[in-house]
Amino acid sequence: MRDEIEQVLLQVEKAVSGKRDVIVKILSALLAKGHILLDDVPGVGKTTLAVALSRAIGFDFKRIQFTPDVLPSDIVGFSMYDRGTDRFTYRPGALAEANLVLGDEINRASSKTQSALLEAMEERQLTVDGETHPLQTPFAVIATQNSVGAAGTQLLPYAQMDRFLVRLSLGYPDYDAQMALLRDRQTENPLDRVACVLSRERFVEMQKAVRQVTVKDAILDYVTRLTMASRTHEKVELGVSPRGALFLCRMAKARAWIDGRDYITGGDVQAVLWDVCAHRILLKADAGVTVLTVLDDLVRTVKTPDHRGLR
Amino acid sequence: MIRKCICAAVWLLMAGTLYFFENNTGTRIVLAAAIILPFALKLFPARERGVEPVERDLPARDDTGRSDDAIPGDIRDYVPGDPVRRIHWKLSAKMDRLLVRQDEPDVDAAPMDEPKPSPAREAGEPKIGDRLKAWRLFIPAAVMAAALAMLLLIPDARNGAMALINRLYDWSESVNAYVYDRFAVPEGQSVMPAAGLLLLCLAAWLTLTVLQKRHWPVLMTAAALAGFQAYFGVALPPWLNVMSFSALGLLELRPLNGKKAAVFIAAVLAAALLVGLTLPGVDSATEAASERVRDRLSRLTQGLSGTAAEAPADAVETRHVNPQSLLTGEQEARSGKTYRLVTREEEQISMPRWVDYLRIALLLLLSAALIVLPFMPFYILNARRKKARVKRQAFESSDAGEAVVAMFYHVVTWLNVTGHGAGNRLFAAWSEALTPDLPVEYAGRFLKCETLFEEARYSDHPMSEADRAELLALVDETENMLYVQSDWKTRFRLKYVECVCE
Repeated sequence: MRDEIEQVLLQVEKAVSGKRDVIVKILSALLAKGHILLDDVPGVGKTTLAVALSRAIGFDFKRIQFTPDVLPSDIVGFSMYDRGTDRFTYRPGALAEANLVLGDEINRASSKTQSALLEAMEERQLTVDGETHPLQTPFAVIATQNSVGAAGTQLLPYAQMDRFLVRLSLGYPDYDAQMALLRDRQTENPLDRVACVLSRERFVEMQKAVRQVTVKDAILDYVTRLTMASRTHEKVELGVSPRGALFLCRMAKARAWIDGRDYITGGDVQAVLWDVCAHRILLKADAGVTVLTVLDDLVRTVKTPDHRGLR
Repeated sequence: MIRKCICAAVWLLMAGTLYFFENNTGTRIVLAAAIILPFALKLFPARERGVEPVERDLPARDDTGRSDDAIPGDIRDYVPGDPVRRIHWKLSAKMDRLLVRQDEPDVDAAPMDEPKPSPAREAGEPKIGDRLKAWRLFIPAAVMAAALAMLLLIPDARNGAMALINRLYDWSESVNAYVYDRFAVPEGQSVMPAAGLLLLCLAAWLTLTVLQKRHWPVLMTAAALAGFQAYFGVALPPWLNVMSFSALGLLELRPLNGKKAAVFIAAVLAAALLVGLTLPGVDSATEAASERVRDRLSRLTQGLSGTAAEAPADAVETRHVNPQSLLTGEQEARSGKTYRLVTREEEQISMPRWVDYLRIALLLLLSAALIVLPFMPFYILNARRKKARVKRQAFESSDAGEAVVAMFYHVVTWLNVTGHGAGNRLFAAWSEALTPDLPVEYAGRFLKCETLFEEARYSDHPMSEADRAELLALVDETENMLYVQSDWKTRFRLKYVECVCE
């Protein structure tokens, strides 16, 4: 693992302990310029993690708590009539000045608000009344949803989950982690101890380096065959879309880069497969199996890129 | 593709055999058509329909928030203290003073019930009893065996079978002028029991063929039918031949749909009708009909072109020399028509020349094959050794990366052939699978070389000579270790099938 990443991890682990692999995955997703969906029970430290991360990297952090009556203009901003200058001026919304945005309980927002947020995520710019305002670089959204939702809400529909690079889950801490958690927070807030070890500009450089990681045709062939096999699997109604294939490549690049290499191997693709593709696969109603089984099947049956060169 | 070529060769062979042994040009053509047609249809199957796009009701979300464009129910002037969010900007800009919306939407409005996704279809498969499935191949086989046994053991059935064979000889004689010894059968022997048992046997065999997903039962039946007729020189009546080969061809067209079957049957019927009605000498029973059609056609054409009509009474026809046609000839002679009987030798002379050339060509091919055949094994073995040598040349390639990749694949092939391979997993995951059977140090070296392989294959880094030497050491170690512990079968595979060992 690269030194700089190790430093960031050390800092973040002061606030959230025992979740090293999830933090590494979030970091790779951020390096791959993607957005993250955290599917979790309430109270496991999602906000703490996001704040610690932004403090360690030097991001500007904003948190939006979604409720059913949050308007799109709260997110995107709106034009307000200024009587003094007799013109409409733009009042920025919550996304404007932030590098890392934590959108809590995105599934509780109305469709219009959700689509406003997702469109801003996709295009990295806001358009209000014909004027475009670009978002910060780097910019990422960590959206959360409760798998045990409040009454009357449903999880995000498939088409919108497809726009997130990865879907992760923090989960409850184990015994030692929770003991450490309780011990640390008795008298002080460990978030205050998190120091900034990486600058924003350096992070943008790292993102550029990740983009430059070598991807050979053999790996692209493997990704394509995997995604096509996922679409024709007998238990699958909707498989991984081409956007999912693209995101698979991106996440594998980030993982390879964090590992210290500048080329992707088949192992990288297989390692990120679950995180990137689990939420993109829609099973048939009478399937009777889980997505894990389907992905295991795919990994087992689709010929690995190592084997393709044989013979 | 290879399977199709083999099928094609077998079908053509059967057609050729029948062509040369069947005396009747017309029958030959019809039989050849009946044999080749189903295969031709199988070679060009109908395009598969594309997958229809999946339509699925994804749950839609209801809009619960209020938008700025909503027509408000209540407007009043702005009073300091009103939340700025309540200001109706569009109206305010129009009226040139601040106006505020009065109404308060429900903060905790629960979204309305979403339409549920379409209920699951019952994916019902017809439930066949599991026991019946296991017996489903056994029952027809048992029925067939029982029918054959009864046929051979019950005297009545045996005699009936012999009477059937006598009838077969009668039919054959009428076609190809061989004379057969009859079986001694008691007078008035009914063929019904034997015919019934044979039909039962045939039905059981057909059921077996249909139940099997493979093609070889059908091909075997067709080959047996053709071979039996060709070898013994007997001939079933042409209509029976056409029907049975067509039925077998239909079986070959599995999975069968109505369109394929209809096209096939129409083609066979058309071919049979065309040949039977327009070419003379196909079957004595169709002779009369064919003659009438030809008379009509000639009268029509003469009526159109106005030439002098040839009197049907003076028509000269050619006939084969066989007992039945002799009888019919006598009859026709009595009724006043003149006929000239053609002998077999004359008919042979009148056969087209290209058949002789084809025969000569086939004979030459056969002799060439007989001369070359003994040397084939040596040729194949030498070709394989050369292939192994060429593969090893890749190890000395100027590009170290290519050499590394080639050498690693060489090692993997050795491991696969000697049974230490771990299947479709990434090579990085192989080292744990290797450990039980092979020494731990070997697994460690394998892993190290695997990292080099990945770097050579998936990156643009130039590989060094040290990497090449490392891989070469692994190759030598693998070959020595595995060659010693493998048996002669594995060694044969390594040398001549996979060509990785010299």
